Amino acid sequence: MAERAKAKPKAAKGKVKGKAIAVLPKKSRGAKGKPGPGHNSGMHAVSDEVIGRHLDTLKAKKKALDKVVNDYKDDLDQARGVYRSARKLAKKEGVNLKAFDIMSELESEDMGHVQVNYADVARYQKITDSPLLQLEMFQGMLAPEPAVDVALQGQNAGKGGEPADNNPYPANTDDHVIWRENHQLGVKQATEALTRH
Amino acid sequence: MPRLLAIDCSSHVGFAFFASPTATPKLGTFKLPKSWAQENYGPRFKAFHDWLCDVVTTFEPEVLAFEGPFLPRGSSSFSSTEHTLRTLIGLASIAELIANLRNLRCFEVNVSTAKKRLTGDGRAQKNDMIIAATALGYEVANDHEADAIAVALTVFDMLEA
Repeated sequence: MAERAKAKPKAAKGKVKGKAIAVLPKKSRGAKGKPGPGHNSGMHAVSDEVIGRHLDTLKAKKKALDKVVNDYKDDLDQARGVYRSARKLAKKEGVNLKAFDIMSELESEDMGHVQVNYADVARYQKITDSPLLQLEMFQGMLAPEPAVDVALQGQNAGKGGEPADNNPYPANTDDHVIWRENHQLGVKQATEALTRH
Repeated sequence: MPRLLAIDCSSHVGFAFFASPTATPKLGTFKLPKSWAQENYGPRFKAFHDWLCDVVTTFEPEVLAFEGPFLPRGSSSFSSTEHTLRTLIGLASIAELIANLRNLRCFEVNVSTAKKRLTGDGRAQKNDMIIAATALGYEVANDHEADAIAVALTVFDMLEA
């Protein structure tokens, strides 16, 4: 199992691991409730030169961004339009576009997810007594078995105190070796946890 | 057969460039800038002028063909405003001007003639134009590009005859 990252403990104000660090003098932070220098609340004047410099940069960057967006948009609009035109012709010549859309969406999904979803649909239809159940569309659909992580299985067995003889995989197989190795790791972790407490 | 650039002038200018009648055309749509005031024609005309000059420079066509502006002739169902008419006439004029300045042969194709060439019906709707162009194997993105294809095919027919 991956180690859990912990947040770095906060250093005390003005100190880093026992060493003192520079802290702004109270004066420079401004009076209570009022912003000090560098504060961006707009309560102090910013020179036209600073603003002008930022505006120049912003304008240049925005122009570059707009160019990329426009180029991309033109290509996107063209491709979308060509696709729409192909759909119009297909529809006119008898293609059921809704069926095509459903097919396309299903094809973009993982097969296991499709099976699970359809098996669930069949189950929900049964629960709600849906008349659609008569179509027997999803009747033969069985959800696939969830994938087994052999390593995690072995590790959990070791942590749980199961004997090594419980290895469910036939000897001389890769899965047998992986399960055994992770079982040993699990036993070691469980022992370490016990000694810590 | 000459290299031909066909355009459909409107707020969205569809274009089709044919290096030859059998070559796959280069298709696209140029959107004229929007203006708050309809009577502010200048920026749109300038944008169209600049764009068309660029396209002519890029593709180097020998013929420029455009769809003629649709003018009302006593039809009660005509719905275009005065501003639209003025824009369409202006765009056609600029196209003709550029063709003249660049020494290109210039053709103006009637809307109904172009529609009939592509669909067989002079009163075909936008959708029919798109479907007909796509059925012929042209990858048009909208009715403006389909109109440009129709204009180009009409001119090719004329030049062949």
